[in-house]
Amino acid sequence: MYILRVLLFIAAILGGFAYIARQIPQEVSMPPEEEKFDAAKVKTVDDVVEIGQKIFFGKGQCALCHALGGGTSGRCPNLGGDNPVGIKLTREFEYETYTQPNAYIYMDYTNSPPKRFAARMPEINKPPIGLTEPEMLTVFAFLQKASGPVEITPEEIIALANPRKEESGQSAPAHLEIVSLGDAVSGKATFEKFECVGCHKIGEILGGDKGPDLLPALKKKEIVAIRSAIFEKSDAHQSYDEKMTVKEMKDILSYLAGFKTAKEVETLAGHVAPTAGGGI
Amino acid sequence: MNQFRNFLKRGGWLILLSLGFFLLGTFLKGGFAFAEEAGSAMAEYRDIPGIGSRNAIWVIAQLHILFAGFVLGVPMFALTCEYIGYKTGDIRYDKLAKEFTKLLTASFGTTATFGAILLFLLVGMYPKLFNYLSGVFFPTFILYAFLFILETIVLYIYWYGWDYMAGRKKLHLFMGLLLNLVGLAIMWTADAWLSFQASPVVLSTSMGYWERLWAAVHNPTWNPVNIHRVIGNVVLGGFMCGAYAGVRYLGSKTQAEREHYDWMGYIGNFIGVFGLLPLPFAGYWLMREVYEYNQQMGITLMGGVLSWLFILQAIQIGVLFLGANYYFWQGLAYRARVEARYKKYILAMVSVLILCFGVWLTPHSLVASLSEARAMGGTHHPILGVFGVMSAKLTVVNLMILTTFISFLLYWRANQTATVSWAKAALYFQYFLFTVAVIAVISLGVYGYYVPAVVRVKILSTAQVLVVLFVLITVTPLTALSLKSAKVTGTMTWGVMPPRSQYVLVSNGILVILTMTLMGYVRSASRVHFHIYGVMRDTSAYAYTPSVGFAASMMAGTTFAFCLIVLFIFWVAGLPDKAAKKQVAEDTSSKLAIPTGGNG
Repeated sequence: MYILRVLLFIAAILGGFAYIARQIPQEVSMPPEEEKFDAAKVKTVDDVVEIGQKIFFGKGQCALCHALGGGTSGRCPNLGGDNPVGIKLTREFEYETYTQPNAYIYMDYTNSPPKRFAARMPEINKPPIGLTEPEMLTVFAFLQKASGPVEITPEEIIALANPRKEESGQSAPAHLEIVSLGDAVSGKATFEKFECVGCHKIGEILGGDKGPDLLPALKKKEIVAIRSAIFEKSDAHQSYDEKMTVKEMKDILSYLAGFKTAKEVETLAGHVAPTAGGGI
Repeated sequence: MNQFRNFLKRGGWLILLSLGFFLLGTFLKGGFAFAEEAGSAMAEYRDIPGIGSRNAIWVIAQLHILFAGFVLGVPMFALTCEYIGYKTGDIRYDKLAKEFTKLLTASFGTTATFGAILLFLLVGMYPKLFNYLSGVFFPTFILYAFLFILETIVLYIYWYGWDYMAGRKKLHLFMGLLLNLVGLAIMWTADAWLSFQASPVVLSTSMGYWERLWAAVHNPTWNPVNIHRVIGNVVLGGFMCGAYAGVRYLGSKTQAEREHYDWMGYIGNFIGVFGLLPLPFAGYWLMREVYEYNQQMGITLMGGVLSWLFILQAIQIGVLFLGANYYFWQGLAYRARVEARYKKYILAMVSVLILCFGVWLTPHSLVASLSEARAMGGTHHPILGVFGVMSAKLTVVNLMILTTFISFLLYWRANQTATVSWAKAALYFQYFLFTVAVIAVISLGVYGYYVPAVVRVKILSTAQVLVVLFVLITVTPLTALSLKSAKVTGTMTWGVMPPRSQYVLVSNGILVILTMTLMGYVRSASRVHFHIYGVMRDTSAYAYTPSVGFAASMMAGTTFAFCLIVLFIFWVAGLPDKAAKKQVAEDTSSKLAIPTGGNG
């Protein structure tokens, strides 16, 4: 019988618990509707910002790591509060941050002078997140809105969502619309400053033999690959991430982008004075 | 148990068999539904008609985790007791450890069975989720299987080698330690899966496979969950032991049995309280990490749709604190017979506990009718509303911990008088420490109302925790040293506790189980409509968060089912002892019968 009494006692405790729980507000929380990007709904800048906000906290998973002011997050930079990135960063930098987070140096803009930032951010235009380019632009618009005026226009979003057909019938790569390189003229000076031609050939007639010929990559427009290679840790390149600024790197890439054929190299060779040194 | 046997004899088996067929039929009906779906396409979800896939997973997962907690908590308890027995030479501790290890062997199979059912249900009903988790965690599945086999081997050696290794106690203790270490490794492996679901990190395709795996395992809440569960299992092991002893005490027929189970209940309660004191700190760390990880999740938990669950938790833990203290006071009154000396202190402590309990369970927003809300000027009561915020709650939790610690110290010191020359100085130093700690905890709590949340959460609350921990860590060894050569002024009489004290032990055990059930639900519900928070959305029909009442009913039902199964296991594990006792009784009666038989 004592077992029965114990069971009744247990049942009374559990029943009491369930009873108390039923005396407090009974609210069933339904999941929100899943947001899908629809360019047709974009009419105003506010629409762009609103979509960006939803993507920031939803599909983009940005809020998993980044805070927007208020509290702090020890894992990734706080993008708001005292450090609003929206008015600090260019759209090019943002785009490259989203799509090539580990391709080249990251400058920790919270420090002065900037320090190299060890990025752990995923490429958000690839799985599992897989944001499209218009979606990325809306996120940037949302970040801009948090700290100042919004430069992104609804027209840009609509244009990116509906890429125009070129004469060949091929769709133009959308990211070319928002990514710009640096200044080619400054790039030439930077190229000389870092004595790149001491090791690299560009075609048959220019540069040293220690590094690979850059022309094949330039022909294939592999600018991003070259950019990554510049900052890969190697005997030759081990300190570029600390010595070269983002602007210098962009200028070099812009300068190199001008070399597309061997003939152009010959023509432009005069612009570059090969050095006898071994480079860095 | 005789009634149950009679019930079976009287045809009850037919009822049970019919019930079994009914349940099997229901399940098969669902199974046929699976088969129909399976042919059509790769299903993301499957359902069990009438029961619901989420409910099925809920119950089975909860039972599995409760048994797993028991199976991992009891070895910690058993090893501690065995070690104390080894060091002190008190054979009662060794017997206690062995008695509980016997329950382990019976529970281990049940844990594995529920684990297997859970796996089948997950694979069958949530294939999309399981496919994703397999893709990320597969090597840990292999590790888990390996550890489980190792745990089984070590458990068998530990249990079956108990008497065999009696002469090599150190080796046996080492096996006990190994059992615990493997058990912890199993738990931490599984913790990686569940904590990743609540606090995932983004797994980039640019990461290597092992880098991805480690990033997923070492997610932001993995460590806090690990530590919280280790301490939680110590508490569960202790209070379950206490509850078991309480039940056996109530059914004891001899004074010797009462003495044994009274002592066992005391040890169980002691270990349970020992774990309970630091447990809120571990919980606080976990919640802080949740806030660090994602503020929205923290707000959903503490200030949103799930916040009422923390009021329920406050009720549970508050009653648990009261129960644990009441049991100490009952010990002072009946075992030590010093109630008169401590009566005024007990009255003061019960007042403090009840006041703190009241503050802890005060919600931020009161449930009020429209007219009441108008009269109050909102749902925040002008006076009680002050107690509904974290600053007040953390303050009273710390005060309750200090009070329980004082109860424990009073019981410890009862019937002993310290004889060391510095005893008085040590006592005054303890008074000083407690006074300063109480003032500091209250001051920090009040100051918390006037600073931003970030200061309160990061600095003030941590300072409160450190103050209380300092008291626990300082006073415990100081008391132990001062009582080392103490003069015994009275005796502890075992087996004289009233039945109500044993019901308190049962209540404590149930409340710990219920709290584990509740907080398991809270942790799971914090993901809201995601299987993996922010990464994989739940698109099934069960993506909503149910009402608190429904959830509480599910928890109560599951806890009751767990209690029934545990009672069954206790009964089964006790059968060999009963058979042995019966044999001894028969042997004794047959020996006694010889002289009276007349034929010898």
